[in-house]
Amino acid sequence: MKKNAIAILLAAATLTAAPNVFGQEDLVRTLGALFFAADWKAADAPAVYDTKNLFELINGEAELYFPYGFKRAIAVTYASDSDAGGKISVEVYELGASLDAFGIYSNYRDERSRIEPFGTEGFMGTTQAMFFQDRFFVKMRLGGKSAGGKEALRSCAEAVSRVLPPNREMPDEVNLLNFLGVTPKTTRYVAQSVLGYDFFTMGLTAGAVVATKPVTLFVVLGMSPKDAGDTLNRYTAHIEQNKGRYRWEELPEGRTLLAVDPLYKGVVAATVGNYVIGIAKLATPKEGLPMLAQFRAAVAARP
Amino acid sequence: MQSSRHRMNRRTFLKVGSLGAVAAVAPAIPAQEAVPAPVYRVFGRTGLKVNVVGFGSLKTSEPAVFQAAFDRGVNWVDTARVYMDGRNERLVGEALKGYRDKVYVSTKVVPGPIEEMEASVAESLDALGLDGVDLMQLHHLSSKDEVYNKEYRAFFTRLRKEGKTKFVGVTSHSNEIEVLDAVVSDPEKFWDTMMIPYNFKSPPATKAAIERAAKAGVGIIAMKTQAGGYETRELGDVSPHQAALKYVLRDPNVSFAIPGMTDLKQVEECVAVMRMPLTRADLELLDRYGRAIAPYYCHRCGACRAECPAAVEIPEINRSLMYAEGYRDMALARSTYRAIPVCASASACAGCLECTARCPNGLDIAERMQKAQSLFA
Repeated sequence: MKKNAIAILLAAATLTAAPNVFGQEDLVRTLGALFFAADWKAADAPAVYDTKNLFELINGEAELYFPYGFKRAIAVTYASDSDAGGKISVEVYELGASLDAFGIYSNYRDERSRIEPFGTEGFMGTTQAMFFQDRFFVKMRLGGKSAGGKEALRSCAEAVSRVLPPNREMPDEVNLLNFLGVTPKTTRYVAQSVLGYDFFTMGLTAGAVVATKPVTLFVVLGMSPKDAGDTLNRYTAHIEQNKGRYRWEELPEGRTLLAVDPLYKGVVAATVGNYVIGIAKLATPKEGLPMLAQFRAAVAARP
Repeated sequence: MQSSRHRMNRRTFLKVGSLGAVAAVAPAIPAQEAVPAPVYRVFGRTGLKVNVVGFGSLKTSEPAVFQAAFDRGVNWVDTARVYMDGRNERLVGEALKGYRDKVYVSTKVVPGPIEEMEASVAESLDALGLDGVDLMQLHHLSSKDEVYNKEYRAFFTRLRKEGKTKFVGVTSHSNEIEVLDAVVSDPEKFWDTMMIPYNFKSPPATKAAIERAAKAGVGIIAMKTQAGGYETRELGDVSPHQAALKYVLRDPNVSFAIPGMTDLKQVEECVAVMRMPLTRADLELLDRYGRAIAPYYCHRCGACRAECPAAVEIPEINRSLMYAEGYRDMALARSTYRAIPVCASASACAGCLECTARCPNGLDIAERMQKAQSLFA
């Protein structure tokens, strides 16, 4: 009991003093010495992986990380002294930018995920927790049988979050899809081929409901208004080439594309500044116009 | 498979026909002549007739892309529980709606305690929305001992009896020849199939091991067929990807390949390969491809970093260049470059009269840094 109390005091002291360290050696060392709960400590020295050997950590899945600017991963397992079965494996991935970290994170999160207050955003289940913060994505798994394992998992997530860069801002681009009507927890960042089209190079998607049917909202991130216009022209060329149909309408809010896409049924799309925005999987394109107007206004209102 | 295409056209006809707003009634895929008739091979002792082009699902985030491939005759999709922590299986499950009778499905379970493997399989089937798959694979083996592990065999036998899989196989990404030989020499012939990395860069020993396996009736799935999947400006508009896939499929001992297909363009490129022979021009292209990527292919060993007095992040800059020049993805290249602190970017090279950093693999670092400055400045 006394031992536990001391350990808790030590843990509290460590947590308060935990610096934000993200230089490679510092972060490896800090994770190796991380103290987040009584009796838990690193079972081995952390292992570091780069693009050449990431497959050793996540074999078969490594390729998923590369388009998101993967730099390195640090993996460490913590074990409980008092509970022989308890262990927590932690993987910290450093990606290109916070949007990339969100992109990987959003691949794992779904509508059923229970959001937790660690990192910029995170979720936790019975045996796992994930979050992203700054350009880091963190994946944690509770293994073995441990009475207080879930609480330890939460404490561990909070402790890892404290040693990462303190930036907890949601990447600005993600807010493009933050308006009324978007289904919560469905926004994703896709680093290549949005909607499976190579000319939609990178962007975001999210779910919504139009006329009681699920639809997909998308934003293609461009570098300039001209870039956005060119992208939309490539899309219309693709539709034409694949025997779909499209037409333009001059609406009060701006020029709007209405299309029947061979893969996604009804689509409405438009350019707003550097972006192409749109709604796919509509029963008819016209059904999407009210939501597109809302979408347009939300994007245009952003600085 | 002909009937499959007819079905697709009818389905698409109905879909398009219902969209009155644009008043379009038209077939939804490129002209039929653009889709070659499928080429099937027998998948080892499973006896299944599988299209030589399968679908590696990892990089695909849209069910519609899978369905576009199925509509074009692809009849195998491979996923894994670990891909996106199960989300990939859910995407595949969504894509399979209406296609399950036309498409074979495989997934994987990572070796571990049996109760964890059991839970993993249950989660896989739930995510896929299936009672059973066609092939369940023991993922990522790297030794003969794992191939002969009795507990795993008992577990997979049970899966088969319970109808959770029809066939059983293994996958390997390292020490794969030992694993494959162990599967082949197994007197019980327990494992039906093996998934193995195989491409134009593979050594002759891999090819020979695959041949031994095929003769023993082991079904062979080739993965990593693109050897990195770079694009090169030096090759002009010609893509080496089809040649790389053709190279693998030319080997009759390969049952089928599972290239990853992120988008519709890649689906069409892969599917088009089905009836194409590997030509001398392809071999020359692959040779040029190998040589073309050599001048900018950074091994990321970091040796140059230690020799740079300005601590320029040379490997990261090279990676940005690779995205720009190799993958032709300027957006990704810029975002990668932007993540490098300015003091470690190529602009820091301006302070040096001469570059002292040397690459052990022969990259001209000074030229590379100049190129980065001109591209990303």
